[in-house]
Amino acid sequence: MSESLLEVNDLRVDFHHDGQLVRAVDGLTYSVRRGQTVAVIGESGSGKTVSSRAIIGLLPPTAKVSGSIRFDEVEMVGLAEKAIRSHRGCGVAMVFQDPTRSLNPTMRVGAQIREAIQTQAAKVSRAAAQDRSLELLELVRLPAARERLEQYPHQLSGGMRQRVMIAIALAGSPKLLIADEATTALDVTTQAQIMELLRDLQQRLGMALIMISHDLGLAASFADEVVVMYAGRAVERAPTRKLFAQVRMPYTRALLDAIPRLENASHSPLAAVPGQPPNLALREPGCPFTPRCPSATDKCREHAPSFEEHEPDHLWACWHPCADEVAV
Amino acid sequence: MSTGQPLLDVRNLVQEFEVRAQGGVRSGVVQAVSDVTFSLGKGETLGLVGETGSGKSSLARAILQAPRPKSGQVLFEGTDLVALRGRALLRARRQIQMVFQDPFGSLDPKWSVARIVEEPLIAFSAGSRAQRRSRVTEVLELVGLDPGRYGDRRPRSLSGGQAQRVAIARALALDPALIIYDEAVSSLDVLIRAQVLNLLERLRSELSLTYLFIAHDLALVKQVSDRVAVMYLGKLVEIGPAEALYREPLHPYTVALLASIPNPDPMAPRAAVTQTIRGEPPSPIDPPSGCRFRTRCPRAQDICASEEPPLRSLADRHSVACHFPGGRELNHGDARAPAAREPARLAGGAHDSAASN
Repeated sequence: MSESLLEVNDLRVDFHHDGQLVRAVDGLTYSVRRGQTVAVIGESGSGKTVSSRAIIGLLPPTAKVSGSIRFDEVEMVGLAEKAIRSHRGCGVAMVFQDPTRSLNPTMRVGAQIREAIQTQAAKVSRAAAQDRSLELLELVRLPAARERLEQYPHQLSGGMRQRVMIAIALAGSPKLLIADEATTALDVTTQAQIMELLRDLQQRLGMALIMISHDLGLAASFADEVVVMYAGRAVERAPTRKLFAQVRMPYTRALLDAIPRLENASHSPLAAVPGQPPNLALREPGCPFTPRCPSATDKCREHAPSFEEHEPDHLWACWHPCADEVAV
Repeated sequence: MSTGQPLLDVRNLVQEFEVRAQGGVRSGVVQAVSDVTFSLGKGETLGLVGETGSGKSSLARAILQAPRPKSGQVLFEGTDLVALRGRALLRARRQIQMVFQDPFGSLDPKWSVARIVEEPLIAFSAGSRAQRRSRVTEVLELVGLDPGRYGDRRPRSLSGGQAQRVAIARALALDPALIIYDEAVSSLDVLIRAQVLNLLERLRSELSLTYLFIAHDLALVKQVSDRVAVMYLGKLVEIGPAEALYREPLHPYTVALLASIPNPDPMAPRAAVTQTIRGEPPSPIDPPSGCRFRTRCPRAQDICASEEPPLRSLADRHSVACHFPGGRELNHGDARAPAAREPARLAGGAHDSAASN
């Protein structure tokens, strides 16, 4: 059994939109070890969600996926839907941003969890599935779990609904859980609780976790490794401590500087880079961050820098990486 | 900051909503806003924070008289909006504008950007057609959108940040005195959010605007606010100057909120989010007796169940509603401040400023 659970290699995802080719993911490469937490960070349209949906095989048929996704030594790209389905749930599971839209409003919570259990293993009796549902709800620490089985999603708060979603995701004992902005819609206090729950479950179940987020602060607190994406590409990747000790890619720097911090004085201006992410249908040469980058030169406009390991375990794609930071 | 009369003076504001069960039977009353009092000086920004269901948005809407509050006063430039009717109320409300969280939900998808921004001017019959057009051009430029390029576009062809700029332009069109932002930057990406926050700051100083800034993100609120108010289950539990409130939060709920923020400092990555409060807020239909926070409070004692702590001033312009207000230096990771810090039970009413220490 190899140490690496997931290996994404030169992954590309293309969509055809209004007669134009949109490359949502452009040559993404990273890997996840068993039990590791990897944060994939980026803005809307950076390809972070599309790439993770490719991993779990949830892209629409119109998406053209190429490159390689090896999960547990099985190549997922080009695999038939039926074979992918056997992986989904017990191999990889996913929790989404909006628990309200992920749950069926007309079904009781217990029935929805039972459905997930019986999809994973065909020959589970109703009673056994019922017991397992209760066990899962207790595992995600939903208060008054037994009563919740008989309730409908609207009777639960947002945080409780997200716990139910996590319970459903855990039904097949997945080796990898993908949390796609799973705490973004929640209050700060609830967000902290859910993140702690995920971390605890991951350690207890030995599960790997990919957390997809726009929040570098959250990544700093919870991830072992961070992958920063921009315009469908990975632009910087490193173990969390290493990355935050020495950010190299100006985009990552910009993301970090734009976070309002408690230490900032009231009314102090935030370091904001101008502009917005590029239109992915207009495929221009050069580094996609060039128009917004404070250190951009003509070279950046003409040639895209390749994504390489410049320091041990620290990869970035930039011609003009940030200089060593002087201790403040 | 505020000199003489405040721009907005909210006194003992109460908002309640009836909940009806199946068949329209009255099953309870949600106490969305309970006896909230605060004032807002001209040119000042008050940040308002709290969890979902704490009553932040209900408070904002009660100020706008949409819907009207159950009781209390909303004095805007000395005039009580609650007592105003018809045209007089409309005239006053022209001075107060609001920007909402979801720009796409608050912009008509069928209208052009120019039409959307012109709408409030038409509604108030402000100026001639030509004057309105020139005002539209003016405010679009103010928010950083080229009128020639964006004027004819529909909301769906805009990005989230651009759409929110349109919503801000619309709020500015009538030259208001007060703008209420209800989670207005919460759904934007980090970099776009920083751009919009900087825009709001520039507009405030250029147009000498007054802001009520509602958000659940405390770090973000601090960035733009002079003072910050914290709400819990419809009650104002703490209000004070931003710097003081963050440096030394007095209410245990404020302490917990501050401890819940993920720390972007990577050097202590695994210790950041550990000491947050447990559980979820109780139902606002049947709030706990005494202090509403007591069911989740690490400092709760018997008195917290029997007596409701009034909002009282403990330091300069810094008030708290707690029997055991605690000073604790703001420090990520250590939020479980024990109640043992000399339970400084100060006697006194809502506006008692006699506190020493």
